[in-house]
Amino acid sequence: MSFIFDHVSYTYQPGTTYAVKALSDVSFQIKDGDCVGIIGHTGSGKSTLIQHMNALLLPTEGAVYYNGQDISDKDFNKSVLRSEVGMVFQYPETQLFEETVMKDVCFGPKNQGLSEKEATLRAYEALKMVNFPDDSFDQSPFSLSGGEQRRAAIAGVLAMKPKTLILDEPCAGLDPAGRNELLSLIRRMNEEEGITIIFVSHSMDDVAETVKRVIVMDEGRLFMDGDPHQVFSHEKELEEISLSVPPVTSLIDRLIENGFFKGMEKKEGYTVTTAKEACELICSEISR
Amino acid sequence: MFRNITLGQYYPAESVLHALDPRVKLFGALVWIISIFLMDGLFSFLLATGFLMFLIVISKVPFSFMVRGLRSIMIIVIIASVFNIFFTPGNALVEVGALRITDKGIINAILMAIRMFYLIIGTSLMTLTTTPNNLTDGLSRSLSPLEKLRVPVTDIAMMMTIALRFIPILIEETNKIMKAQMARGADFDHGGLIKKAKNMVPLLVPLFVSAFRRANDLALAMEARCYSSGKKRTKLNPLKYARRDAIAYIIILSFLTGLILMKIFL
Repeated sequence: MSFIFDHVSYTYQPGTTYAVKALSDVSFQIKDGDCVGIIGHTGSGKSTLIQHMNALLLPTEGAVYYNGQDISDKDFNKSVLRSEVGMVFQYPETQLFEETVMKDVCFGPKNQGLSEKEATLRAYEALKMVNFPDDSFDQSPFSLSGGEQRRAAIAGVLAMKPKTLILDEPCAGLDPAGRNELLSLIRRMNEEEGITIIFVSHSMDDVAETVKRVIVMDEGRLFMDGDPHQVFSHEKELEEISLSVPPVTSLIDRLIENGFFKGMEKKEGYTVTTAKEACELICSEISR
Repeated sequence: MFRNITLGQYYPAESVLHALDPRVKLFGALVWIISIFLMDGLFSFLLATGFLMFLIVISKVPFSFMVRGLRSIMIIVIIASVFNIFFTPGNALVEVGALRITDKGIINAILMAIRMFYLIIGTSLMTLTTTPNNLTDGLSRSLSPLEKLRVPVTDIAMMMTIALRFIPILIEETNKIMKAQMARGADFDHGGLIKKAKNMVPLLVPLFVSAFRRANDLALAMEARCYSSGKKRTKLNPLKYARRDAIAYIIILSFLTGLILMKIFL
């Protein structure tokens, strides 16, 4: 049991003319080892939501519990939370600041109170994990390419060995190879190391390929919450809040509607979400 | 996030003051500053107070919003008043050692405090009711005669507009980087002065990098749209005087005249 959101609302600048309600009455739980995707169009409250998980924002109404402790409590230890919950912001490469990549990745572990040696070891592991080229460890982060900067920045968060990793649009601006690599890294961390993943994205494909549970946000409210196969079977409802389903889901659904795959009628609350699943379905149809 | 800071504290509302031409408001602010030094009798104070209250009411900006701005200058006012109380020559009311409190000193201190408060409230009325862009627009139009003296007024106005536009962007960026570094365990609140300054490095370096990158991008985008300095530029919405602006000029001038007459005859 790691996160419980209990009727959480958040308003920016309450009590002024600039007040904006970004979250209203959001309740859900995230368990240890979950792999959750959060989708929603721009301004639906995704970013506000995830900042609560790191106590960067505190709810204006309701409560957020981390391992049973209210994060709004005065004696709640935020630095423990922040070292256990890693946060990769949108365009994380903007946070690079040190002279060398190595030093920059060491920043987090050192803030956790680790010694120079331990921090360097952690940084080395993290850089290895994201496949950062060895010969660039001592380069200035500002001389790297965009993709390498992104990997260095993500390593900077991984080096803190978080138990939960929150990623806000980590694939934005990456090339297809970089994207695939990053998504498989995220899956690996969840499956092999048991890290809880919270993955915010605009790309339905990325979400469908990566996560085991999808939370849909709309105008600050929790719109849907469930297994991707189930959530993406509600194509119409998702379109109403200007979201879509993965193209492959759309394709298979159209095919079923037009009489293909006779054996399997469109099941209520289930749909194909990835190219791999679609491939299996089509192959079994052909071989039948 | 950048709603957090209201630059020049513009307060959106629909009032006569908001609708006035920025040039009128700039002129009004100038007159107000002059008039603060003109008023010295009871009657001129009453006139100025009445005028200020009238403006506050028609501006539709909540009074609490203006008072908030006063808090920051409170210390200056207190220091100035204390000096006035102790160092003004006159009839001593209380005398303790070298310190003398005089009747004139007390009056001076009170006058000083009132003048400062009026100055801040009056000028912030202008910034509260005018968007920063409108303000630069008005300023560049008011200064346009200087172009004859080869002062690059339009360029200066463009620089001001860009600078103003960048403030909320940079604030947003600062917020973002700060949060990212806090998520990596950075601490911006604790420690002594030197430690605090050191802790700012992870914030300032990325901020500068991104500011330079943005400036570069903007310069490129402007050049791609054929911007060049020193050319005569036209506006999409040029400033135009309306009838209410004429009325406002008359009111401002009669206020000033009234004060001057009081100064001479009372």
